[in-house]
Amino acid sequence: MRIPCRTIIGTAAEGNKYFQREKLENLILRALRKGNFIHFTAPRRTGKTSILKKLATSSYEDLICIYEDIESDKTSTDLYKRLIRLIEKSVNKSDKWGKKLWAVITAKKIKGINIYEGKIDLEEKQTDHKQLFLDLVIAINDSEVKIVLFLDEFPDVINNIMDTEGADAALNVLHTLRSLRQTSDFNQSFGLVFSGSVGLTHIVRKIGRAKLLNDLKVIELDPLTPEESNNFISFLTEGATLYVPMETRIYLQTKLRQLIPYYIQLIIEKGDEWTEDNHSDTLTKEDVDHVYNKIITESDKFIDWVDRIKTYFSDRSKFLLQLLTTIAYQDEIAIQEVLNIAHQYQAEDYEELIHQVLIADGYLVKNESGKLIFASPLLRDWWKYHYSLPK
Amino acid sequence: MVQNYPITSHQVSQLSTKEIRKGYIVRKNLLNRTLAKINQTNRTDSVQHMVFVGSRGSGKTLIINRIKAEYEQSDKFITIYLPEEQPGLYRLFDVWLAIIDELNALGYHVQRPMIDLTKENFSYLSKTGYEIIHEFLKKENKQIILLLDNIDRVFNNITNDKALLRELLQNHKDLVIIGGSTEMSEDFWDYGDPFYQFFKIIRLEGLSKTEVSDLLLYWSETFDLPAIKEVLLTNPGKIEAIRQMTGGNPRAMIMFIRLLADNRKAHSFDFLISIIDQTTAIYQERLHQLTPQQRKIVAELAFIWAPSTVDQLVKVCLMQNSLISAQLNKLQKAGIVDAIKPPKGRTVYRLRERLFNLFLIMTQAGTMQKKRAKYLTDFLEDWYNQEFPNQSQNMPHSENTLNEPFAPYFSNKDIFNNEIFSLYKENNKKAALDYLKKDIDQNNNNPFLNIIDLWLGDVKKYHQQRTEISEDLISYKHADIYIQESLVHYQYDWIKQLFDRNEALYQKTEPLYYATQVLHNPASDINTFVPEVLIETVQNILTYVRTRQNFYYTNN
Repeated sequence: MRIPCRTIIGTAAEGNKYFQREKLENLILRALRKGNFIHFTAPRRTGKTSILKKLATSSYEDLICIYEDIESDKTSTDLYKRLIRLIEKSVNKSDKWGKKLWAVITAKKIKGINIYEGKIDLEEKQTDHKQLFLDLVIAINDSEVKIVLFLDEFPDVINNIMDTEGADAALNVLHTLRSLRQTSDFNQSFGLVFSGSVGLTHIVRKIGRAKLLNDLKVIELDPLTPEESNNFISFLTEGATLYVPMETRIYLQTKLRQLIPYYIQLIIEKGDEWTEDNHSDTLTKEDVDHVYNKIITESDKFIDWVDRIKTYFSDRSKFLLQLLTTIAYQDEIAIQEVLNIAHQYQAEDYEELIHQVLIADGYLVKNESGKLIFASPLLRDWWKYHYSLPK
Repeated sequence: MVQNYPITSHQVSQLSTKEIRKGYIVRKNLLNRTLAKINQTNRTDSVQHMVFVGSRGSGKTLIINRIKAEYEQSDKFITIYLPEEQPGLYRLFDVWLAIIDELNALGYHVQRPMIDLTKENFSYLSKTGYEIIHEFLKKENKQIILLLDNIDRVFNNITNDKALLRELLQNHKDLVIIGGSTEMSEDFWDYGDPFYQFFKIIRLEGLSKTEVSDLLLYWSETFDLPAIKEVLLTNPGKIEAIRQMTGGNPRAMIMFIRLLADNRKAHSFDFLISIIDQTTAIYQERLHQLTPQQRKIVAELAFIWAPSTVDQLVKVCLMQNSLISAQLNKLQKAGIVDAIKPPKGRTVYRLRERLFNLFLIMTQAGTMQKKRAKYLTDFLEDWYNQEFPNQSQNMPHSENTLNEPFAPYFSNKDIFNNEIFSLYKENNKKAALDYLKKDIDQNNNNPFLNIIDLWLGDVKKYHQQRTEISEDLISYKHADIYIQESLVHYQYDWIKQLFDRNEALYQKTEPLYYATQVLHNPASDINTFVPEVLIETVQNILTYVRTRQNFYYTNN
């Protein structure tokens, strides 16, 4: 019986599927210990959630970390209630600190909540959940351990609040959280990590207050280095039937250039299936080519890169998509030519769009001669396959 | 017994676990891979959710039920199957309540959530219902494998709670969702949709030649129907013609087996008519879901059969270019039409489902189009019958079957002498020349002799005679073999000319026409101009031609 590779598509990699990213994990922990609130940013499917979940399942002497995807919260009340529940969960998570923390919180006698056997009971008449949350944070202020909440899909929640309660309510939430992190009393006992596949900066810019995020420590998720990617392939194929020789690995790295774990997993998983169907245990360079070509023809693989532009930059999407299609066809583009396309679409803010959207979100990079190219050849070839240049 | 074998999803789900396990014959690698993924799943590591996508009758329900059968006695998993038609599941909590009810039906004791009927909004149940399932599974230390046929319909229904569902799946590892979907709805890849890309998509392609052969052997043995095995051994072309014409659709193949059991002597095309007859209701319903404009475009695309540009469609639909483009876009999103974009040139379109295309030709097209389908089926049956049984199944005319195209000559001594044919097969030019000198110069106008001249390098003689031969080629019983062998000996341009001026030849040997086009213009992309139904055969012809060229011109 063939043993499959340890790949996972679509959901976060956890437990034995998680590939250690030690440097990055340490970077986040160091920033948290320093008292930073973190904005952990990277495009979808690059592995953010996997890293956050890993950090939240580990134990630390001085930190209690809790991860939660919070995207279903629609109002500011939903969010504050959630934050209260997460604090409750954090306290209950720690065998060492739990009792002590409950004692501290109970002693503060917060108006509007009752604490009973490790549960926070919100009084029904109480409507100011923001105040309850703040009171709770104040209550844990003296503790010797720091509670950190990893809030995944946080930008979606801000977007939801904007939609259901208006921009002011969303601003209010952002202000509240900002005031919290700027109060030095709190940042040693309470921390937040904001994460999400939709750029928080884009959402906040829509409200016109990008400055509200200036004090967040931005941590970016870089692609793997060639050495890490090699280790990653070894990790994926460990104990599996599939063998990936070194020359195939080098070839794969050259072909992908941008070594995002998801891309590597796609090739390895499809390669595993393809070689199995062809009665082989070894992934050759030809197999990589075959699988690569198959992936670029599948419309569902990268359509999110297009939809993201259409959804979040609808008024500039024509320019952005046209620019990307042009680059896909000619491999690179000089800024003069960008200006020409921008002129056709009256996109006067083209420079900002290129840097804040296309480069920041991982579509493009600049090559040695300063021209713009696709960060990922795989995305470029997918784009070229699916989109035509206008006649 | 055969009559009772299930072919619809409803019938599949009525089978016993033992029957499902035993009757699961094809796509075994896929099944094993899927089971291996599920077996790796636990409450600590990642969960892989999956959706099988395929046309109607592609075997989604079968594989879902096979997975269910695998885990019915599991200590780790509880399988819950919510079958195809679930009109009641339109809110997330409907799904949770259905799961709770199923758990109770399986003998577990799970309390339904408290429902406050005085409230106007029951959405709170989306969370409380899930919490009950979560607590139950935590206590039992198990996971639920949730099997959802037509998962797209369920997800489309629960629009409001999709973010919550994704959140719950991200935060907990209680459910492993395995779904079946006819087509990937647009919602699945809408970035704004939180459900986006949460699943591994597994496309169920048509059955391969080997899989169909496995299926037939299984049926023959299990239901004691030696006639099926006999057809497989003596008339493989019949089976291959049906497989290619229907795109290897498993349901169509099962229909075919039933028909075969009743009347193995029937002609391939008659089988096709019966199969199409049985699919009419499904495809009629699909047609009725389209707007009149879309129906027109779809029908014309089907009749053209080959991939078509918008401009080509303008000519036959007599509709504006922009209108056709807009409708094609919608049809593409609905999964009815595929767009193929060549590196250079215009995008071409074709129907996605081969069987649907055939249905339209057989039921809606004019006599000419129906004839075209018949000729094609005849050609395929003949061409694939050239293979000897029990030889390479995957590649007809591979090295060990090189001589097969001439099998008819063995039994047709009137066409040609066995001896010269043997020499041709063996590429023994010297002996062939000696033989020809002493014996058969008199039969000059035989098309096959014309090929022998070509092979021997007597191009002058070949050239002198070929025009005369071509005039009456269509009446020659083995015109296809003449064309094929001319291609083997590099006469691409001549054969192309023959096709250009002889419509009947084109109609009767269409796959050879397309193979000629490719050989004539090697830079052409087969996917952009060859009807999808013919691609595999055209590729097989090309493989045959090139292998033979290698044999005749490289080794000696």
